[in-house]
Amino acid sequence: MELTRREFLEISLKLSAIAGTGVALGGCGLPVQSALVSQLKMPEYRLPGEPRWFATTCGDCGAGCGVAVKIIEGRAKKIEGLPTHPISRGKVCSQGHSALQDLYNPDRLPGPLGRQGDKLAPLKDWKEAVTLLGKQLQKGMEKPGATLWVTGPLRGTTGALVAAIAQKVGARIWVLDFPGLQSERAAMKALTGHANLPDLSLQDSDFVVNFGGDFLGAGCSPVRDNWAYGEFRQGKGRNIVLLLSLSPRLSLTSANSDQWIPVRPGSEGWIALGVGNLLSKSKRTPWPEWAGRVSLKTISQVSGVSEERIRKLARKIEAAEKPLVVGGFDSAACTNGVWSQWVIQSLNRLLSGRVNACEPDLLVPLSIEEKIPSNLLISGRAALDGLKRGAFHTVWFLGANPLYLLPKDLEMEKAMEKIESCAAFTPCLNETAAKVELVLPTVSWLEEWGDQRIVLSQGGGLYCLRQPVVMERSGGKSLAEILLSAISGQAILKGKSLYDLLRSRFTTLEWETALTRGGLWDEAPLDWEHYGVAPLYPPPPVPLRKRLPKGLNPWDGLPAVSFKEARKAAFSGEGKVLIPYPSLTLGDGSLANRPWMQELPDPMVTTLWTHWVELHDSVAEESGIERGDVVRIVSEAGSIEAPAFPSPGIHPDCIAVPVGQGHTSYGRYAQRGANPLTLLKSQWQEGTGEPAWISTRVRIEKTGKKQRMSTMDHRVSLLERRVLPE
Amino acid sequence: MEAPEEILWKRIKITALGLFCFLVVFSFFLPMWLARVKAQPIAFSHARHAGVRQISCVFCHTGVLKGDMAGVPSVKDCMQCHQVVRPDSPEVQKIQEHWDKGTPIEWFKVYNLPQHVHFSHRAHVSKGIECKTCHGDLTHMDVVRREVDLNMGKCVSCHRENKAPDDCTICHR
Repeated sequence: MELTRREFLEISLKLSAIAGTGVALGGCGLPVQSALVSQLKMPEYRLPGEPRWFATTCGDCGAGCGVAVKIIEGRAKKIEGLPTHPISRGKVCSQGHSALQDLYNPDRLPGPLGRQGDKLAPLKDWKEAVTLLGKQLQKGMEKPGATLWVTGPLRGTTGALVAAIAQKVGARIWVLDFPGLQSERAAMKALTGHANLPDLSLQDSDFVVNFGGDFLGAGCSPVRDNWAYGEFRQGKGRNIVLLLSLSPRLSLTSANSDQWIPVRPGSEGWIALGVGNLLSKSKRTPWPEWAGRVSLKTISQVSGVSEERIRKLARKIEAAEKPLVVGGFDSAACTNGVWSQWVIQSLNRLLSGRVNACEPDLLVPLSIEEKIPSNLLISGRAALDGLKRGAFHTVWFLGANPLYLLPKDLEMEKAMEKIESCAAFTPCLNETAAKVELVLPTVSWLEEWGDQRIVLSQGGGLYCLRQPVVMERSGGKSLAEILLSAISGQAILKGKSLYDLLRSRFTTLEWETALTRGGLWDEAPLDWEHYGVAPLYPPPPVPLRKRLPKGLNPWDGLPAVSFKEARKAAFSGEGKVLIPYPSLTLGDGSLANRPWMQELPDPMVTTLWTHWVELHDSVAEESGIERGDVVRIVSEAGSIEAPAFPSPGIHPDCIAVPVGQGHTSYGRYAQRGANPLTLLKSQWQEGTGEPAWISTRVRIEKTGKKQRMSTMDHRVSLLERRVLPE
Repeated sequence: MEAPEEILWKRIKITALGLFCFLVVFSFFLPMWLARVKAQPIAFSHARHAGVRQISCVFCHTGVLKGDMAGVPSVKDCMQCHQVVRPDSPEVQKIQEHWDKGTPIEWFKVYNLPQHVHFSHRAHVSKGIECKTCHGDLTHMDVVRREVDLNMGKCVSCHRENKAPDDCTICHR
């Protein structure tokens, strides 16, 4: 029989399909043959496939959580909390867990880069990079005060090293941090004389009033504060306790409160003032005389909270045995943020006679004999003024990313054009690093030595040691090592490494103990002199001033009022107040290149891999905006687009957008979404000289576009369903 | 009597079925065949090391006494001897090349269990089970071949003979 062409093709195709199926079926269920890769060098203690756990301290924030890192054949596989550590107590937050993705990030720079024209190209080797860096340093030293270092938070011995080297080379330091704790520190300094942070001893309280803070979410020690919150609610011997939150938006902490009262941003301090006025009549602790001139009626108009509600709050606080008031970002980031925090902590002093302070982020000198000079650190305002005037010839960016964080109208990029030489120290190429002459890749905290000294309230404290748990696997080096190499030509800390500085403080037994436990702590107060820290506690009492301290003006915020004009000027201005809050998953944007953090649903909105704008249900209904509608948020400084998330969890006078997305550089995972900080019309915060993050009014426009938001909830607005009374 | 076309179709179907069966069987046995004959990157001889030189298995496969995996010696371990022992041999020079470049050696794994099976070398070695029980007598093998087929029946029989636990979760967890 003769086959036609069609029949031949049909038969061939059928046979091929059968053959393919046969191969596939045959291949199923077989052991996968894999390569057996030998190590290059294997220490005797290392077993193939067997994990070993090493204690260290997480370096992602200043909380100092002790963690154990699981190492298999020299590779870090998992991070868990150290069960015996007083801060972490066996837990670690999502940020700490995801630090592995800093280690294995494919966008880590493989080596130092130097500018060639308008591009950055790999340098020959680290020797060349350090030589260039040394030249920049030398040039900067020729004119004292013409060098500026822009850093993230400076902690522990690494921070002390940076400060010591900066002093010797005549550099000034600007600590750029979002959201930063400058308001809280400035307020505590005015109140106690020490620029520490207020201690959240939740576990010792029975009634906590939270003015704008988010200690369960984006606080400065979330793991410890969550433990303290657990003790607060369910600790041994606890009776009924209450947490009340007053803030413009429903943060994670507000959502866990027994009651959330929405208030206008910037008015939290006013409410605290009103409560203090009411309570001062029955308390022995003095209260500022000028405060009494502010009437409850004024406070009610400014805040939008009724007088009766404020009185009720005061009665509840008075009835509590151990009340505690706390502040935080929503109140601290306004232009009157320092004043708000000052009033809140003054209220604590009124209630308990003292202000408990702690210090999770301690910048100390290298040794107890030295001091950090007061003019070493400068404010953002002073730094930018200097940059614009061309006063700084050499600028180094030590982990800071001002081109992402700063409002555009501050024109940081333009100011950088006046810099003669600049360098950036970063593991991945961020926006700022993309514009400099020299980029030095740094390493993950899993690969370097370090420490943190954490002072808890009333004398307790701990020393947290960080050890490298893996060898440096990319082409980066630790910041300390780079700086010490750069200054090797100078007579500063000659021959010392960061390891030498750490090791020299301890006996062998102490060192071994610190390595195996992740640090040193004890029931008795630590010998702080031994660790180069002057004792800080208890803070000495400061006489109460009759006049309002300098720099603490309540009327620099929203609204711009004086005591006399408060009634008229409450929140004048068109548009909604923009709250660019630190994302619970992406922080200040530095975590945006970790896909685990992008994948993590926001605990409040439950969406992922995107940004959004929260606005009140009534505002959305009025404008005909539904969930997922893409709206344009417009300010005087610019505009961004974002999908809308109507919610009852925000004051109708505000909208909120999380910070973290919107990178234009920083790797393949981070370049998505929009950055709300670009909308800010810059205002400087009185008392700190840093940007006031909550200070801009915006308007919302519909674009007609829609974006499907992946959320894990199926909430139907309770207002829509008329379940709750309006 | 069948029409010629029908006979042709019948033959085509039989051929297709035969091809199918062949490919299934071939694919099933291909990895085993590869395990027997695929060359290693370096012609390491167990016969010379474990047989002639009588080097103990544990000298190189240090993990058997302490952990689940036996492991293979690191490049450094090989170089400890071979920087002086026959450094001019072409195969030893391959190891030297790996050491100089800082690259590991990718051996072809001959004895491998499916991922759903948990096996601990320490549990067996500590009970006196000899290596050759599962791996064959390697002292006579220049090239390691899978001479012992490790299937579940073999494992369960040995467990029962030696009064070891034969609960499912011992191995499947």
